[in-house]
Amino acid sequence: MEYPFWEVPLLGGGMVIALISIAHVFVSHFAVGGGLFLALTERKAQREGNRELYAYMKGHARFFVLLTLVFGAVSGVGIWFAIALAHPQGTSLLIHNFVWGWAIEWCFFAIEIAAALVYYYGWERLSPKTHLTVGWIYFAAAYMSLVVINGILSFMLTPGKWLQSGNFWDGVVNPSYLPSLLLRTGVALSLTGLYALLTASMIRHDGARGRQVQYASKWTLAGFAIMPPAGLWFLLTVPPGARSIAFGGAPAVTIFLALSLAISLFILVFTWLTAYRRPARFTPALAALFLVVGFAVTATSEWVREAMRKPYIVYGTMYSNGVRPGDVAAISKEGYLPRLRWAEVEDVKQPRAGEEIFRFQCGSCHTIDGYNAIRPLIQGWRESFISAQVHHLDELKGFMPPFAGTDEERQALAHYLAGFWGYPAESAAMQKPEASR
Amino acid sequence: MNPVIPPLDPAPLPAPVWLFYLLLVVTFLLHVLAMNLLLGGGLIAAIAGSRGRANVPHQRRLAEEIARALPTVMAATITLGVAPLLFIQVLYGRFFYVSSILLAVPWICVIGLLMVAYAGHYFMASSPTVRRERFLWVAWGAALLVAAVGFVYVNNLTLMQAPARFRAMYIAERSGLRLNLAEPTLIPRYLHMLVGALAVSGLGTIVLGRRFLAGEDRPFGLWMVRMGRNWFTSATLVQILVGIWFLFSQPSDIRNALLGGDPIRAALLFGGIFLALAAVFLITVRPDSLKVVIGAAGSLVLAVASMILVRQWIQDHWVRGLSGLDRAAVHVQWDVLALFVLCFAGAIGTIAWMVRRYVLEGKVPEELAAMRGGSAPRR
Repeated sequence: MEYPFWEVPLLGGGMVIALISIAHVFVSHFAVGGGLFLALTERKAQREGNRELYAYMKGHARFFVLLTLVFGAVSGVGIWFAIALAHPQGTSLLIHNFVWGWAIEWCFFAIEIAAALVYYYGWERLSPKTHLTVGWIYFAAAYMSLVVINGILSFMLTPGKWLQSGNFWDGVVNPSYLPSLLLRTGVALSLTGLYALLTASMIRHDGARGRQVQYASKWTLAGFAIMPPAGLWFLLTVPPGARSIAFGGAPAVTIFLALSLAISLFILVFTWLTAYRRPARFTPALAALFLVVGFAVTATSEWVREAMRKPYIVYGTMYSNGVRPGDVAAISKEGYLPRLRWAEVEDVKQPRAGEEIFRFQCGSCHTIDGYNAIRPLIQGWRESFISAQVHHLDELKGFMPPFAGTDEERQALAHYLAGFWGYPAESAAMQKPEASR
Repeated sequence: MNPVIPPLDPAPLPAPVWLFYLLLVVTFLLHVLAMNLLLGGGLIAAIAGSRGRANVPHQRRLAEEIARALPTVMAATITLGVAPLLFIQVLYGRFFYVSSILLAVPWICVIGLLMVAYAGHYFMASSPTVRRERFLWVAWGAALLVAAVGFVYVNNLTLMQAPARFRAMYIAERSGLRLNLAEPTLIPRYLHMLVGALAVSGLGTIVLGRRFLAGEDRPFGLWMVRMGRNWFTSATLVQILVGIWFLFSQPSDIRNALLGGDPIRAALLFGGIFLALAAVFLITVRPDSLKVVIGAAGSLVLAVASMILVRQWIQDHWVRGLSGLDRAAVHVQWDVLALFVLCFAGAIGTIAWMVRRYVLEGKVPEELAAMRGGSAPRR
């Protein structure tokens, strides 16, 4: 509303955020859990004087650093870029409230990057004790960055007492903070195991490969031991509206949740059956398949978590389309178009009014023909029916915000949408949709 | 017509404007220094690689020595870039978000370009058996990608300070498929940055070359120091011409202010130029003396700092009046701010400790290196 709307054909801006974020989450959780893996496994190698394990660790660390620094760190910055493009108002809200949270996280991020580089280049340079200490510093910094960021992420779903106080700590240490942290810790451990299965499966020596594969599988299994109770706890702390979206309120979300659980179970069972029970026969191809499946479960779970927050970008504070709940009454009285600074039209009587209302108020979630397309959703709907639906949007669909605008603006939107299926205009005041494009 | 800009965010600023301003300038200075080494170093490595192929002695090795440093420099550039990205959003988000949306496609492509360039740097730094003849292609590719990223940044940061153009640009094209090519200062500003990066990297080459001055590598070390000096001095002299072009591409009120109308800003500009020339003088006279190199580097850092202050003033000149920052509510939560200061100090201390250990602990015993599966240390 207050910012220009970035139009992304077919995908929509939200999907751009999702694509970058999911890929980032898949690697950044490895960056956290993998830090513990480096430290504990190197300690094991040192205590046992195990050359085989050392040789493996060196290769694994190289893979780890390349992936987490090149892809993990840069895609993290990519999320910044994407959210500012697709949701500038929400980003501004978050940055004004939590800039010090991010600044604190940046301090840990800087330690993390420096430690990763010193660890990577230090194999042939640092004493075993120092090298291991650097590994622990890496893990501590990486985990602390999760500790901070998790506060801001969980805040968006459960802002808790912050809604009244506006206090930083009330926002960060919110109702879903701890279960979310625990859940992400479980994800970090299990993904670490999956990545380690890949590097371990490439060891040439049969005996060593078997031992490392089984060792890696224990990380995945440990992660899965944490996730179910943490997930349940998480679901108990989220707002009832979010819970109902996950459990039937929005069928697509429920299907994805079920899918996420089913794929997780698949990974758990097959990790146990293959990598843990018969580690010697574990192959890189199988490890790659596990990673692909792991990516699928990351994608579905993150999608469900985001979808549960609908219709908000920050629960109770800002809807997904940038409108604040407290402003809806005033906008419905005074009009939406006069508040739009970037629309081509200023008056509801102008031809493209409906199109501009759709773009700015609906476009952050709906495309016309691509992701979450509006055209098939309104197939067969006449203008009057669309208008009635829009009038009661939040009551009919709990995951959608109320329409913010005057009756005339709602009519203009309905007229524009009805034009997709070529229905004759019902409101005489409006021009034909063809003329309005 | 008044420029269309989004209103102030209703949330108060979580610290006084001056503090964000200070943090923005300081972290941006650090980012720019690292970025200069990344951009200029990448280009010098690619050029040296090309000349090395023509069998010019030492050139190939120069390219490889720089290449080994590039992954670390890239990591530093990105890490140090995150902080100013945060603070610019707090202070100027209303302009920065809009300009980013107007250039959305090239802007988001920056992420992919950086990732590919970063991977290229690791490839360049890998062992010769891995990279073989592809080194040169990758070196040029990575250098040009980084240069392209810089070009997109200059586009966004110049557009950000031209809010009068925002609305018309948006109405004409809403997918963000454009650049700010109509901006008269765009090309001189970009060249100013590019040539500056080559100068700073010339000095970086001297520092890198000094490590070889002792021992059997001395001829190469001396050659590398001389090479760095040539890059540094010639780029700084070219910068004088580019700088004049850049200055005269500015609107007359800014130009007049910098030429003496505003004594403080004029002093910053000419002080910066003086410091850069002083560094050239020092390096020309004694490139092989450690003290002189440190003095020149300090002088150059101060020159960059003064230029950044001038740059910030120009940015403010365009947007400060519109930004409404002077009337923005401020609500400071001191405990959070104190925690940030604590973490910041902790981060500097921890990183310093790790780097110190890395420098001090030269070589691990051979039997341990063997156990770790490592080859003999290269450095």
